Amino acid sequence: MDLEKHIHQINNHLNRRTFLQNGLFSLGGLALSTMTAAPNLSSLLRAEETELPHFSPKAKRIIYLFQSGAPSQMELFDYKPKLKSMFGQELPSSVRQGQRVTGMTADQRSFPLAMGDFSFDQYGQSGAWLSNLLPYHREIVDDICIVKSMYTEAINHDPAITFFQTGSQQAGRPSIGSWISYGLGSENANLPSFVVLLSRSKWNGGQPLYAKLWGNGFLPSEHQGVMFRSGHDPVLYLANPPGMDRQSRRRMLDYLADLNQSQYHQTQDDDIQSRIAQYEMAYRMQVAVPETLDISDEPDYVFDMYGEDARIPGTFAYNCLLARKLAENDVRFIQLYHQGWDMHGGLPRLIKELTKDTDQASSALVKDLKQRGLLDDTLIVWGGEFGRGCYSQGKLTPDNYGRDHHPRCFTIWMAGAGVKKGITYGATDDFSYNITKNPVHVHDLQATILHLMGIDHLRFTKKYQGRRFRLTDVHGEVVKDILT
Amino acid sequence: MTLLEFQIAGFLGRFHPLVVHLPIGFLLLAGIAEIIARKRAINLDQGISLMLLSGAVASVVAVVLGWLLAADGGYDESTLFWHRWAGVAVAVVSVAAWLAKSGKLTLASNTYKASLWGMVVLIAVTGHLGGNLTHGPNYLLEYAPEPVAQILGGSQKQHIVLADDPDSVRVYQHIIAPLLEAKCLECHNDAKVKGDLNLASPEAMLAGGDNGDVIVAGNSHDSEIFKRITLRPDSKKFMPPGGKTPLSYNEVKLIEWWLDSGADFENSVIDTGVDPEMKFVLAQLYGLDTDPKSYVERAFVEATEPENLSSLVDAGFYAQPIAANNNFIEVKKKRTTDIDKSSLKLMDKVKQQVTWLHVGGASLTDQDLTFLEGMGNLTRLHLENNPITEEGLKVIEGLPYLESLNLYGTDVTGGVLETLQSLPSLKKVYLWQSKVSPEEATQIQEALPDVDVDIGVNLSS
Repeated sequence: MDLEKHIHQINNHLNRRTFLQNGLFSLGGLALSTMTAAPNLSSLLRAEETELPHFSPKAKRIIYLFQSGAPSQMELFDYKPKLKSMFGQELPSSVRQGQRVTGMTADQRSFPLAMGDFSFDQYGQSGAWLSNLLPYHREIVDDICIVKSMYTEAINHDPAITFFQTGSQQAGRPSIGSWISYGLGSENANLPSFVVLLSRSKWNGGQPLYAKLWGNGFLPSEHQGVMFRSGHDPVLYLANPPGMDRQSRRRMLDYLADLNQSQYHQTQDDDIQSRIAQYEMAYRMQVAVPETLDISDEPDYVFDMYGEDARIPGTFAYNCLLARKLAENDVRFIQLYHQGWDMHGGLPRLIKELTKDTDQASSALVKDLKQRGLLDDTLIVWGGEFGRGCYSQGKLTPDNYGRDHHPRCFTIWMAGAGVKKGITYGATDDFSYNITKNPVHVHDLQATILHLMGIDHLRFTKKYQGRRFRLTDVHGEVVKDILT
Repeated sequence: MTLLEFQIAGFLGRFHPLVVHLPIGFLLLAGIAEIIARKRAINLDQGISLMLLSGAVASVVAVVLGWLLAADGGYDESTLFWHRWAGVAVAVVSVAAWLAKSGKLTLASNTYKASLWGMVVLIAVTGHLGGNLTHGPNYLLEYAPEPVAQILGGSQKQHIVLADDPDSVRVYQHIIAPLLEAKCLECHNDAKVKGDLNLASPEAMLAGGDNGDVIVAGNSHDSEIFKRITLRPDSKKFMPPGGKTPLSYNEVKLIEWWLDSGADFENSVIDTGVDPEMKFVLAQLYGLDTDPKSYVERAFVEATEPENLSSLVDAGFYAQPIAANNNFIEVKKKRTTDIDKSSLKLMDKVKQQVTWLHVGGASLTDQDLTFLEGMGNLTRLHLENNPITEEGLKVIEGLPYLESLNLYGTDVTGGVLETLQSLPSLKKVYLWQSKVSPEEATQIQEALPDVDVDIGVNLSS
C-alpha cells in the first residue's frame, strides 16, 4: 500500500470523538495546519515557559538515592543518648503532647523508649555525629549537608513517597524528575532525561513502588521516568526481536513517522508528537543503553570503592555505579530506590543489613563524582519518605525492638552543586520526636532542589484542567541557609 | 508677646483648621442657592442672605485664627503669603456680597454678581493653598492615576523598585530618602520646615535645624534624628508627632544602619556592609537578596548571535546560554560524540560568552589548547582525560575568574603549580589520575591553601 493511499484511509477514519473534539475548530484548524509546516518538535514538547532555567543553575543534574521504607534517623544520624540512658522508660507525655501516633502503634498501652547497642562519634572537620553503622560515611562527612529537621504530613509509605515525588499525597501529579525533564530538557538525545533504577534488600521485603512515582502526570509522556531493569534486558521491549535488523527498524520507523505526522496535521494532537519523539528516542537508546550500562570496562579499583556488590546487577552498589555513568552521560534526573528500610520489628538486626547494602556505595558515589569533578554540578540527595518513632513498636527486649512510622522529624543528606558542605542543619529534641530548630518541609526541599537547578518553583507551572499546577502546589520556601 | 499671650495664640491658632471649613460650606452653598434661584426663577434672597452672613462671620473668625496659627512658624513663606491674603480677600469679598445681597448698602448692579463668583474662585484657591501648607504640595496628587497627574502637572511619585543587584541599590537614594519622604517630609520639606529642619535633600539635611546637627556620621546615638524617632512615643519630642504612624522597627534599624555606616549619600548596599540582621531586614522590607553572587550572576556580556551557537551544535557540541536571564554560555563536548579538532575554532566567536567549557576526553594535545586564548570569562574549565601537560596550560595563565579547573586523567605534573598560582579566583583543581605525585599534590595544597586540591581516592590501580 503506498503512502498516499494509507493517509487517505486514515483521514477517513477520524473517529467520532476526534470529530467532536475538533468539530468547532476543524475548519480553521485544517486551514492553519496546511499553511504552517510541522512545528518544531523540541519546542513543542518542552515547557510552556521556554525561559528556563530562570537563573544560573548550580546543579545540572540530580542523583536521588531514595531510601524507601523510611530509615530510622536515631540509629544513623540523629544521636540521642537519652534513648539509651532512659531505655525502657515511657516516652514522656511532655514530649508527645498528646500528638497522634501512627496506626500500627496507636493501640499500644506503653511507649517504651528504645535504642540498640550502637555507638556514635563525631567525624570530620565539621564534627558531625555518625553512628558506627555508617563507617564509610565518615569519609564523606565533610562533603555532605545533613538535614536533621525534615518533616512530612503523610504517615504511610505510599502517600508519603508519592508526596516526596510529586508534591501531592494523591497519585496522578507529575514526578519531580518529570517536572525537571519537562522544564530543562535533555543534554543527551540518546538517553532519557529521567532514569529510574530499583534495588531491594535481600533481608527485608520492600514496600511496593509503583510506576506512578516516576509518572509524567499531565506532562507530555516522554518526560516519564524510564526504569532500567537489572539483567540482560534493562529496558523491556527495547531490543529488536530476532530477525529484525537495525536498517529494517529504521525504515519501519521512518514510514511510521510519516503516518504520524499526517495524523498530527489532521488532529493537532500533541500526544502524537510525544509518540514520534519516543520512537526516535527508543531507536537511539537501542545503542546507547547497552553502551552506557556496560560496566565490564570499569577497573578493579572502582569495585573496591563501591564494594564487590557493584558487580552484581540489581544491587544498590551496582545502581550507584550506573548512576555515576548516567551522570557522566548527562542524564538529567537519576532516581534510585533502595527498598527494605521499613522495620516495624527486628530493627537492630535489619538495620545492619540495610546499612551494609547502602553505606559503602553511597559514600563511593560522592567520592567518585568528586574526583571526576562532577560533584561541582551534580546534586545528590539521600533519604527516605519519613522517619521512625523513638519508642518501641511491639515488645522491647535488650536486643530487639521495632520502630513505627514518624513523620514529625527525620534526617536526609544532600551533597554537591550549590549545597554547603560539612554542615548539619536543623535539630530535634532529646527524643528525636519534635523539631526544635529550622524545620524543612517536603515542599521546601522540592523548592530548594528546583532552585539549585535554576528554576523558581513559583514560576514553574503547567496549566491543566483550567488550573496552573506547581510541583510545590501553593507551598514551599527555598532553604537558603544550606545554599552556598 | 508675653509667653501667656503666645500660648493663648498658639492654642487658638490650632482651631483654624476646624473653623476654616465653615465659611467654605456656607459660602459655596450661597453660590449654589443663587444658581438654583436664577434657573427656576424663584426667590431665595432671604436664605442666601443668611448664608452669606454666616459665611462672612465665619471667614472673619477663620482669618483671625489663621493669623494666630501662622505665628507658629515653620511654613513655606511664599505659600503662606498667598494663602493668608487670599483668605483675607475671601473675608472682605464675602462681607461685601452680604451687604449687597441684603440691601444694607446700595452698590453698582454688577457688584453683587462679581463679588459672589469672585468669592467662590477665591475659596477654591485659598483652600488648595491651605491644603498644601498642611499636607505638603504632593499630597493631593500622590495617588492620582498617571494620566491625571500628568494633566494636572502634579509631581509624579517615584515608585521604588529596588534592582535585583544589591550593588546597584544606593542606600540613601533608594532606601533612606523614600523612608524620610514617607514618614518625615510632610513637616520637614522645602515648603514647610518645622523646627527649621528640612530633610528633603542631603544639603538641607546636613544644614541641620533649630537644634543643630541632625545627623552625626558614624554615630546613630548622637544623631538627633535617631534620638527623636526612638524616644518614648508619648514624649513631646517624639517624631513623627501627633499620633502619626511612627517608624517601624525595621525602618529604625535602616536609619541606624545608615548613620552608623557613615551616613554616606552615595554608597550602595554592598559598600555599606550587610550583617545578618540587616540582611534579614533588607530581605523582609524590599525582597532584596544580599547573598554574595558568583561571577556569572554578577557580570554581564552581550548575547552572542544564535548562529554562533548553532554552528557549535552542528559540530557536535552542546552549546546553550546558562540561563534565561544570562548571556554567558556553556559549551560541552558530549561524552559519546567525537568532535573534529578543527571545530574548536568555532569557539573564537563566543570567547567572551563562554564561561563553562567542557572538552574532556577530546584527545587534545598541548598544541590544541591555543583555542583557549582570550576566553577571559571562563569560570569552569574541564580538560580532563586529555594528553596535555602544564606546557599547554600556559595559555590559561592569568585567567581572572577561573574558579574550577579539571585536570584529572591528564599528563600534568607538579610543575602545574606555576599556572595554578597565576589564577586569582581558583577554588578547585582536580588532579586525580594525573602525573602529579601525592607529594607534589601536598606541595600544591600548601602553596595554595584556599584552593581545594583533589587528587581523588588513593586506591591501587
